Formats: sequence, C-alpha cells, structure tokens
Amino acid sequence: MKSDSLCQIATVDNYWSSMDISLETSGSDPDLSSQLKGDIIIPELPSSDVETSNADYNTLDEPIMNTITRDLKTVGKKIGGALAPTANNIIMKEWDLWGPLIMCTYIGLILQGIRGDSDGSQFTQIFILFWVGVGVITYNFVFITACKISIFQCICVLGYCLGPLAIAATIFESMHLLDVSSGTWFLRFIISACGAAWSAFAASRILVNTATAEKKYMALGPVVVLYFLISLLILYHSA
Amino acid sequence: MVDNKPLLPTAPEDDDEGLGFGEEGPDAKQRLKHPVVAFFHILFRSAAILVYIFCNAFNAGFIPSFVTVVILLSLDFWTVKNITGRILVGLRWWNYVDENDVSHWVFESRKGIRAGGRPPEKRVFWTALIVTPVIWILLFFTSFFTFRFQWTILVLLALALQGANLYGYIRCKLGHTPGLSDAAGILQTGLSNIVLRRATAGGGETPSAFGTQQV
Repeated sequence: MKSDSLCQIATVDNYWSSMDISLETSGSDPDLSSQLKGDIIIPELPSSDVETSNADYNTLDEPIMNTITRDLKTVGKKIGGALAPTANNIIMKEWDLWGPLIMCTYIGLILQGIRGDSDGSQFTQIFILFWVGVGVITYNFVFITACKISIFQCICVLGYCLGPLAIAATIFESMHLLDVSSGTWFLRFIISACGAAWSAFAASRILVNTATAEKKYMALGPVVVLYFLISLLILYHSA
Repeated sequence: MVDNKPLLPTAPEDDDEGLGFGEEGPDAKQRLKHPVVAFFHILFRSAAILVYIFCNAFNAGFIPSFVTVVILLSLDFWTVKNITGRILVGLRWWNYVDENDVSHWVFESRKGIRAGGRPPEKRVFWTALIVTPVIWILLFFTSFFTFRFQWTILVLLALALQGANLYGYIRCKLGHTPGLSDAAGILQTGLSNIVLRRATAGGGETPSAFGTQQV
C-alpha cells in the first residue's frame, strides 16, 4: 500500500517540494505513514485557483515539516512582497505577525549593536516608536477612516513594509563594521531617505485599495510620517 | 464570525486503530502517542518563564532578556497554535480574510472516536495551557508591585500571547464563546474529579481496565 502511494506521489504534478519532504519524514515515522496515505489522495494542489480554505482542510493532519516549511515560505514571500509591492498583495490576504516582530527586533538589535551602549536605549526607542506608531495608524485606519481592513492586516502590512528600512540599517551596520562611517553623514542621510521613501511607497501601494478616494490621504499620510520618523531614528543611531 | 463549521472532509480516522499490534491492552491508552510534540508543547513555555525568572533574579541586561523571552514566546505561540493543538487534542483555530475583506475566525475540533485526544496527551496539553498563564499572572504581580515596569510590559505581552491561545482552544473545545456558565461547569467537573480520585485512592484500588474513565 505504501509503495502505491509513493507511485501516486511521483505522478502528482505539483511544484511544492515540501510534498517530497513530508514523504521522507513520514517514512521514518510509522505514526504518520497511514495518515499520509490518506492525505496524498486528497491532493494539496497548489494551483492558484484552489481557494485557500480547501488547502486548510487538508492541513489538519499534515506532517509537521510541511507546516514549518509552508509557513517559512509564506513569510519569505511576504518579505519579498513588501520590497516589490503590488496592489493585490499576499500580505493583505494572509496576515501574520512575524513581519512586525522580525523587522522591529532586527532593526533594534542592529542599532543597539552600532552604538553599543549597555543601557539598551536604542532598542527601546525604536521598539516604542514602531509599536506606538503602528497602534496609532491602525486606530486611524480601522476606526477613524473606516477602511476595509482588519486590525491584524494593518499591523502585518506596516511590519513587513519596514523591510527597506531594515536594508538601510544593515547597510549602516556594515559601514560601521568596515569602519568607514565617519564623515559620511550626507550619504547616510540619502540612504535612510531612500529607505523611508521605499517603505512608504510599498505601504501605500498595498493599502491604497482599502481606503475610499476622498479619505486616501487622510489614511496614508500618517504612514508616510511614521516611516519618515523611523528613518530619522535609524539615521541618528547609525554611527 | 464563523464557528462550529460543519466538519472537515474526512481526515482519516486516527491511524492507531489499525496499528495496535504491539499496543493493545489498557497500558496503551496511558502512554503518550506523540512524546516529541508533547515535549515541545512544554519546552518553549517553560523556557520563557525560566529565562524571565532567571534574568529578573540575576539582573541580566534587560534588552537581551527581553528579546530572548519574546522570541521564546513567539515560538511557543506558533507551536501551540499550529502543531500541538491539532496533534495532541485535535483542535484548531485560525483566521482568514475572504474576497470581500471580511475577517473570519474559525474554531475547529475533531469529532469521532478520537475527539479530544488520548487521556495522557489531553492532560499534558490542557495542564500546560492553563498553568503557564497562571504563573505569568503571578509574575505580573511581582513585577508590578516592585515597580519594574519594563518587565511588566514583557509579562503583559506573555499574557496576551498565551491568553490568546488559551481562549482560542477553549472556544474550539466548547464550540461557542465561553461564558460564566461554562466556567461554572468546568469548575464543577474539576472538583468532582478531584473528589472522585480522593475517594478511589483512599480505597487503595489498583488501576484497572476502566482506569481511563477517570479523565
């Protein structure tokens, strides 16, 4: 029976290599093998027209490696989706809070590392600025301008769109490590301004469809301001 | 809001029914079927609490402790929500946004023979799920009343994450939003279980084939 399902897997045409991974793990774990038999017959078709709800039904019994790799890939796609934003974005469709956590913590730790104080104030500053900003903007989006967006979607978008600023912070960190950052204030200003512009553009592009035409600027204005402030803080702590 | 959705297309009924060769007898029901999963269920929660207490007690730097505890809490949240819930007790809760940008919360529970999971795994799951927020509440009081507000923020974050999981799974289990009558019901069954165990333990009975009924 097991070899039959193996043949079935070989012929199922799908591009999720995670299917193969799950087979290997199930082979070594006899517990999951009979579950996997059942699963393969219900194909986890990754074709774009299968509604996500279908795939979710199948994931109740999926092997754990599948879950992990699937979630990691989704996070990766979202980070890419923030760097190259389109209007109908995956970040909006499936939200998760890994983006805000990863980006905020990453930027905070980099700034902390550059300045090297032991009191941890750089991390705290960026942390508070980001989360208070996100809170205010989410409140603005959901309650004041009544956009078609849920709270978590908004937090998710704002978090992932920190990606460009994380890139800017990484550049500053490498400049600091290579010891070239003295006297480069203007260059750093340009870099952080570009980062802020890119972030703000990405967030606006993703969020633009949620607001009605007349409230567009009222909703998106604070987003631009937030990314501008974050870039200033990054610039201030960058050397 | 969607809850109590009609059931999932048949996930094959738990594989154990067929695999019982080496595992028949009353003993099989008392052993953990997924020890690794149960271990991970407890691992991140306890690690978060231990790191918090350790760093608090020894005044380690706030930022590294904060980041470590937050990472552990996030890993715990993800693991409990996505893995241990569905494997140990057959429950799952999630959220999706449909084409009309309306957000739906879905709470699912596996029905049938294996509903609720085996007794030992059920015990592990629910005990860890309930005890850790209680511990964090105690830590909240210690940090709040010693005026260490930075740590209080961390405790509040921990309570939010673990409380969310607890609430989600309770809602899966009950099939509806928990209310006061549910709390009363749970207390009642809990107390009667304790009384029953005291009574049977006092009689010095040996575990029998009916031992599983106690849970």
